[in-house]
Amino acid sequence: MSLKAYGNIYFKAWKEYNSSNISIINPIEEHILSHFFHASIHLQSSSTSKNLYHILKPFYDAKKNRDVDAMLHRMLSPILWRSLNAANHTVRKNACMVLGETFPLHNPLCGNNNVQQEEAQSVIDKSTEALGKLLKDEHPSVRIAALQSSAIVLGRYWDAIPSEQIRLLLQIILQKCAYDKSSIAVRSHAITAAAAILESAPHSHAVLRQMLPKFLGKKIIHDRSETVRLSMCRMLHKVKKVRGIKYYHVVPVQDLLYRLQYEPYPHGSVAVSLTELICNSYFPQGETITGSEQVRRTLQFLVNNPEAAAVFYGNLKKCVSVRCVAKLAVLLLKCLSCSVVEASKQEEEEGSEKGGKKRRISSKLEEEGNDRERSKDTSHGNNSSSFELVASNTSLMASIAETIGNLWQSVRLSTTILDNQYLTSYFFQRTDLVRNQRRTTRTNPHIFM
Amino acid sequence: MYTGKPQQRKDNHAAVLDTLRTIHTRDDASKKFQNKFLRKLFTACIRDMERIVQNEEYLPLECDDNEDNGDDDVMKEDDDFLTERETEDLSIASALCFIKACAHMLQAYLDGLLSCKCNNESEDGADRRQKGHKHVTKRSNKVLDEALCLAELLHDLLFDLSSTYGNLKDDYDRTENEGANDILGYEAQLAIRNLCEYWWRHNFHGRDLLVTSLLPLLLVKSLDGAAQSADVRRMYDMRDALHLLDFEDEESIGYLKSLLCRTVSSPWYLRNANGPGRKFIVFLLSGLGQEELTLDLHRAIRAQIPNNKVNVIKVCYNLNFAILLSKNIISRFCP
Repeated sequence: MSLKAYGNIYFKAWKEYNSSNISIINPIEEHILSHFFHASIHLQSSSTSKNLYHILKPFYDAKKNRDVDAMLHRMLSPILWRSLNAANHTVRKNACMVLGETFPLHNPLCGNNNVQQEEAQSVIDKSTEALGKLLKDEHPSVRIAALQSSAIVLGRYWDAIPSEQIRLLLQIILQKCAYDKSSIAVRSHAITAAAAILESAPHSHAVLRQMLPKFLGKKIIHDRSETVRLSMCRMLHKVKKVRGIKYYHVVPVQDLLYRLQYEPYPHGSVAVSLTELICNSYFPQGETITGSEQVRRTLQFLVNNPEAAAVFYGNLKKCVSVRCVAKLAVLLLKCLSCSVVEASKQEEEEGSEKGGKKRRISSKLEEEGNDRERSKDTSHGNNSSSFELVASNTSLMASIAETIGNLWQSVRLSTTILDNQYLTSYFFQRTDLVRNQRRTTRTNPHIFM
Repeated sequence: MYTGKPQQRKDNHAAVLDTLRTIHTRDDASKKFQNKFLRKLFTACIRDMERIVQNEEYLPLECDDNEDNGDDDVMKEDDDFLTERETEDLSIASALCFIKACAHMLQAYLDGLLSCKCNNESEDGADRRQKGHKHVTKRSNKVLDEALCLAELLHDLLFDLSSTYGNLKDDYDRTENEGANDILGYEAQLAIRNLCEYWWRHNFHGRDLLVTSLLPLLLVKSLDGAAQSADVRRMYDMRDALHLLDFEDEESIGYLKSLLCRTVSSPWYLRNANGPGRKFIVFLLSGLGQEELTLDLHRAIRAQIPNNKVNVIKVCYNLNFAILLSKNIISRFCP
């Protein structure tokens, strides 16, 4: 039924036979495993090869065990090195995958420690050299397999591999494979490999901090292929989790916003991924973050880059809860209504006093009891331009109205669910309130919301 | 023992079993007297059992529909046939009851032996610890030859009983169509199976003679569609009995081998990562030491690799999730 189950059964049976020492020749190794390992390299069908990989996985996972390591060396060393240079690309691909899983393929039971270390070092050199060669292979499927194996090898054995060889492999991955014009899959896998190394080898951060902006930087995020762009976004998500590297140092914010603005599918996976990536900056959340701070950042975003903001707020629902989106929509609606009320009031005042001063809406929000802090948006090092929230600023008003529409449109389906129905009623209550208020203000300008 | 009302019969049965369980622990009777009594009891049972086996009294008679007796009185014929049938059913029922009772008696006898041995061992163990003995070799527990002989007779009935009355489920999910004799036959078979397992598990003398029919039956049961995890566990507990079988003799072992090969594709055997099912397959591959069987099992697994899924549960989960999602979407747009 399950291939994993078969893998575990074979592994346990081999271990039991090995430990009981019934005979010198282990029949499971002799008749079953030798056949499996040979097939794992020479199988033509990729699906069967994958299935076989799941059966052999328990053996690969237990490589730290000296007996298992010795067995892998016994089984694979006669066929692996030869297969890496085979004429058939499927054999090269399979051998490359096996090399990644069994790295370093040496015999831990031979000789003393010095001999073992020398042998291990020579195997590491031989393997990295082979990987470097396979990364430049003429067939894309071999290059993909080499990228996956390199990610495994560098992720697991970063400390054991000499730094020169690491740099060489990384340069091939980031400089050549990431810009492979002939294959989208190779480019995508190169980015995925870099992300995997970043995630599994903490010591790689120091090297990748310099290499990622230099080699990937601005170009990959604007790749023609959506798959590559998505891989890049996923890598940026992983970079975001690393303390020493900032994702906006790898790809500048302007490029991220440009990508968000010109993404062919505004609700596609790349746009959603980018929204998720910059969500904390443009829509911060947490106990210390007030509603006014969220509104301030939203307005700033709408002023600086309205097109990107439209896509961002259209996808916001996929990153935060429905309640948060509805709350933002209500707050923006409140801002809009305040601006209009303020403008009406000032028109009245101008009519009576001729020459009243404009008031900023920030003071209006203070009246509502919201905590107001006027700090510049320094999260990305952007120089935020100052803006006035007045009804005469037509473009801003239009952006706010559009954003409210986008936000409400995105949560509309969710709010039909019974749990969120109260949001619907609350939103329409506020809309009615604004409508009534406008009527009241027109008739009596001294009454505010 | 098998005359009188059912309740009275049950009481008698319980009294006999109770006596057998406690006979070895009674202070008032000497060991010689106990064995003499038990020998007499089992010899009597053997005599009756041999008669039952010889006459096949526990099996239903096959009706011959083509038989024509040429009698014109149809009503009379039907009445005679029914009376004859009822008499036969009664005799089969009494044979099956006797078989079942014998199995229960032997189990009670073994129970008594075991409890007596436990008491002695606890005293011996304390003495041995005082004398500094570290290793205690595990010997088989002695039983009376007559008891073993009776158990063998019962064991030989297993195949016949399972082929005739083996369609009932363990959970007693009986239907109206299943007659009283079917139920009795199944219960007798169950009692013998339990007795043989008990004999093996507690290492009583002559246990090797009571597994040849038991093993295929347990295997079939564990591979059945209505199997439970307990059936797999029972098979795993009996795994050492497989060492007694001659795997070289292709003719006699062929059926059992095919059953053993079926275990590698049975969900009950593959279900739990550390469950008895997988342990049993590991035992077959390595612990049994039969190279030919190992290769057969490998061939059975290898045949499944190309078209197998990594994890069937994952696939089922995804499918269920997709169905759930589609249902939600449909209900949203078409309330």
